[in-house]
Amino acid sequence: MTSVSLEPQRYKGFSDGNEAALKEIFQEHSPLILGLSRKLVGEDAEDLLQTVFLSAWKNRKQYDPARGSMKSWLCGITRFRAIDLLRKNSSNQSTSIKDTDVFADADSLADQDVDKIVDALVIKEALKELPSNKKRLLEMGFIQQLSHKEIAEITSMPLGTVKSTIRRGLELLEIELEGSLD
Amino acid sequence: MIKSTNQYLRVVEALKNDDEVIKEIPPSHIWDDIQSSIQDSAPIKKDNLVLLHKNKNKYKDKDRNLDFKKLAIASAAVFLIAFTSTYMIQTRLTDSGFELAALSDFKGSATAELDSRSLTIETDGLEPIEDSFYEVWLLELDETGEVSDLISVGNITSDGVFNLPSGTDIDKFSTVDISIEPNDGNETHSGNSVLRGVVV
Repeated sequence: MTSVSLEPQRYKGFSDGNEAALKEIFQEHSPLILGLSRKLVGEDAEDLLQTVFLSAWKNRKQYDPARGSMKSWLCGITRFRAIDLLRKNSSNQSTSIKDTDVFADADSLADQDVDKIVDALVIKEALKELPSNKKRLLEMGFIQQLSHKEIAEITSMPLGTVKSTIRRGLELLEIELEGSLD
Repeated sequence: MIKSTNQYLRVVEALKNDDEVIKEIPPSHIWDDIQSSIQDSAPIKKDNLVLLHKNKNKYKDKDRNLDFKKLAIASAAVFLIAFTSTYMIQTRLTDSGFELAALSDFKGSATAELDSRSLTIETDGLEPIEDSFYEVWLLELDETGEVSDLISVGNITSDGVFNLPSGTDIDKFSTVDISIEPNDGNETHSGNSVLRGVVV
């Protein structure tokens, strides 16, 4: 069984407070997080980037590689911090935090847009890490909209193998998506 | 196994989404700012925390297994008063656990319910604060009422039910505390507690 979220050894000290590990993580992931931030909050992107990494550092003990990659986790932090920022910027928030349901009533268009953009990024980045056979079959199934039978014919793979490979690929992607929602 | 239809649909939807994110190299000052924020962070300052009470054990172990809902109905306003020479706090039982008392002139309120795996917090009137957030803590007090240990349970803006870190010994923590934490990357308790209650 293929496993995902095998993080580089250099991340190992991150949860224990190793600043060098944070720097490695920043160097590796900040271009993506800044790009995502730019798409979500525009000119506030650099502030959001900084907030995301400070928040990641503060909550580093909550990071669990078994529940998704570092990239997905950072995208998840970006998701929630961006929603915070967008809400703050719109409507001069007079609403109070009530019953801790801040995200439960996240039904504004901005929030949904944020979710879609972050989901798409997390899945696309995770897709890059998948074994090529799973990646290919998933793309054929969900992007090219081919049926399992058509995929089996094109690839000369048994139908059962196509189905199980696609299902396993989706499971791996789901782990990443879940990791971005922690 | 795909855990839920909703999750499955999110994955499928995301696979079809052709939105592009363009990577962007951040200016160097951002890392410098992050680094200085981290390095400016003070070590854990347990001394900053307000002394709470000296007789925690008097209430801590007592009645933990009682059915709190029945108790609350039977005695509408039960107050457990923990007294200290420096601080007095009243913990009132409610239908859903126990109340956290407001410290100083703080206007918000909260109730909490603690079990071996999670802490449930319900709040009311916690106004958003610029560049700050509310954080929930479990405090252990020593015999003199000094904070001897504490763990962060989470930020209130994300969820009302906080899963405790695995291995958390809830018997050692006698107090639930909510503080205002500046968004400065400093993971330690700010010392600015606004709500607090004795676990009952």
